[in-house]
Amino acid sequence: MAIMRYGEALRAAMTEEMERDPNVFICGEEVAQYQGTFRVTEGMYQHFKDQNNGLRVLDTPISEAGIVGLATGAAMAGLRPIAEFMTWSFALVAMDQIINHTAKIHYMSGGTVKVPVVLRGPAGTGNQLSAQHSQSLEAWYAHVPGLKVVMPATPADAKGLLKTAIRDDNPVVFMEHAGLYAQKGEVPDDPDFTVPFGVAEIRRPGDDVTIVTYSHSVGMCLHAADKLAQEMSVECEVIDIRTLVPLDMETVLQSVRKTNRAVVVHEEWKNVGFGAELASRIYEGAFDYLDAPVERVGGPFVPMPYSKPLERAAIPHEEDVLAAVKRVLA
Amino acid sequence: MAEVRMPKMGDGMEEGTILSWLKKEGDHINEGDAIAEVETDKANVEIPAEESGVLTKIVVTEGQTVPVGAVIAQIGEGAAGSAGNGAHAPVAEPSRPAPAERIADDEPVMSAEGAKVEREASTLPPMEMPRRQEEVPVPATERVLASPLARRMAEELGIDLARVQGTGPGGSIKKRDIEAYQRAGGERRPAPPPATPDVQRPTPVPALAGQEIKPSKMREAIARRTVQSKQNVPHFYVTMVVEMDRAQALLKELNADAADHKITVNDIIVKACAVALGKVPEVNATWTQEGTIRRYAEAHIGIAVGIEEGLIIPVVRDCQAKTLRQISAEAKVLIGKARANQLKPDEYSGGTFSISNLGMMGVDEFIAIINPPEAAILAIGGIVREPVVAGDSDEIVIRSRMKITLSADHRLLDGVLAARFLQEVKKALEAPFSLVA
Repeated sequence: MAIMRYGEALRAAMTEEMERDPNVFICGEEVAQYQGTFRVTEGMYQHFKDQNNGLRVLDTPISEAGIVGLATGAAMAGLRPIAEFMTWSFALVAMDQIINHTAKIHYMSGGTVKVPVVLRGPAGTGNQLSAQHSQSLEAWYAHVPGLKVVMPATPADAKGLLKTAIRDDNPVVFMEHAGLYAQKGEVPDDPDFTVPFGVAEIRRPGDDVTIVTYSHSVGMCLHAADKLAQEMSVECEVIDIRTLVPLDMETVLQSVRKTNRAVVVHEEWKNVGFGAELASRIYEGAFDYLDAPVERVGGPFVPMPYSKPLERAAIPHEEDVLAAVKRVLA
Repeated sequence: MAEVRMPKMGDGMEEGTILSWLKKEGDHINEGDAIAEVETDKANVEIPAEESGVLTKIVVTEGQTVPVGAVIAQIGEGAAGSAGNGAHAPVAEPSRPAPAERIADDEPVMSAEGAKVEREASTLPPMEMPRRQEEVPVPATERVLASPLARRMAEELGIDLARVQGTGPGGSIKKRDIEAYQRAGGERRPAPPPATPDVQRPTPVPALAGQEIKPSKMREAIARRTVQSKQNVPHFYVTMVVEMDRAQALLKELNADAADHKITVNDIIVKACAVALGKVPEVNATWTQEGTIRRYAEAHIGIAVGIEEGLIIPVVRDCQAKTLRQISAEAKVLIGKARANQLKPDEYSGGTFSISNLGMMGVDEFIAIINPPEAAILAIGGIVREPVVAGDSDEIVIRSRMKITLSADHRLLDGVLAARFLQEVKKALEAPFSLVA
């Protein structure tokens, strides 16, 4: 085990996989010479510049559609590209590539063509990046068949899930959280360490209320759970689903059947957010076990304000989780 | 304005019937005035007003039965009918929804009791579920609010949701309410009998045309409580013979110069039980809902009294601290009230042990059903003069003998304890001067 930052864990995953498989390469804006806007690819260009004519860490023009097109084409031809977006907000200009090409080619080719591409970069809200740079659009990708959607919450998961994503033969939307890059945690050194998709992690066991969440909200929910345990003797079970597609509902449903109450929490807009899918699946799978309506915690239905106080009001906070838990206990 | 609600007047009371209104709308009422007479499953009781004012509205009419907690009347400060009609409670008339015409346009869509009232959609203000509103039972004709889990539990346990008090938002029934209801000894519907295999099925007999009789409240309560006791309490039984010659002689002596009041065999048995409960305190206890044993210092002894409608068990309190004469005097008063249907709730609840005596009915011996949450009940047979072998002498003598049978809850009592308790009762009755010393 090593203590690593989330960003370092991502770099370790990519470096290990590139050393393991010569077909893996990185492409994106400023990933090579500049070493990445969030320094995730720091040192990687230097590390790999003597291989493959210095093209294993590849700076691209400022064209997200071009980046995804390049990566998808390379993947179809047998390589295993990792395409980095400076932020996931910029991936919006690559939507046609992602939805209509990357996600569908395997299906439309009758399964003959594989697209083992990883699309990764920072998502999430906060840091006064305002409406166009501060948002969380995972529900868009989770809505589309053909894409796997991964949102790690810890450094260990960042590494283990990214390695799994790189080894996966399908396109993977890998959404990091800018607010987690500096978070430290224990990360296994073992180069064969991976975290499987579709396996939720119970971050905190509890018998009273199930909190289902992912990404940056996991930490907030754990903090809220500790507070509830101290102040109200309410034990929350906090489940980090880790991958939105594929989704491990069995762990969630088992928990809800035990606690009879569920709160789903995420940063993205509550309206038509992924929490609606989670809540709906809880109703479908555990209706007769519910002692209260499922509560959803998510962002209010507004574009992210720049103003700091307004931004704070537009992002779910611990007190929102506390209030939701109290509502399901009412 | 104050709401008068159906009070809970005893353990296990879930609903009450308004027998008669003692005041009419518009009457001025002083705090403490009896305003209505209510029939519970145990007795007929007068409801006192909890505050002074004018009886503005009678919500539940005579003859109607409503759950505990339901609004039965409203007491206002001003003239009759001046206030409160807008808060007319549909609770009062379970069979009829509140007539729409009673609701003026400017009145809130939610009535005071949180019941929904139909109106034009266009005039609806935003619907917001009141949270933690006053807990009011939902009328039977409306859908009972309950969580899916509570609904499933009720179905599995055979519980009628309409009888469960909801404590969730808007009075919704939660898991905790079902559990509380069960703990409080809520009824269980018996499971359907197992299907008989075809081969053993007897030829169908035409249904007998019997006369359907609606059971009285008391009959229903007896049915519910005895089923609950027999299904949930693991009964076992121990019988012992007591020689009553000396007790009878003592009574004769005690009553010789008593012009007003005679001490009965039953009284001396109550006294003997109080002594025995002190010697074997394990019997004076209860198995609690939390699964613990609660032992009592006071012996509150119930005496089963058969009356026309059924059975009621008035309780003589603190028998451990009372003389035989005191017990006798109190028992006489309570039994008299029981027969006249005048017992107050605190006079027939809170017992720690009970006695049922069928001796005067020519019964040799019988076994009784424990009266929960008590741990035991003693069934008393008749005193019979019979020949017995006296001591070691091989001599046949005539003795007055009485068989007593203890029904005990095996969760907290075992055979040896039950036997020890009976030995103490026997010892006290066979050396009865200790009971008056």
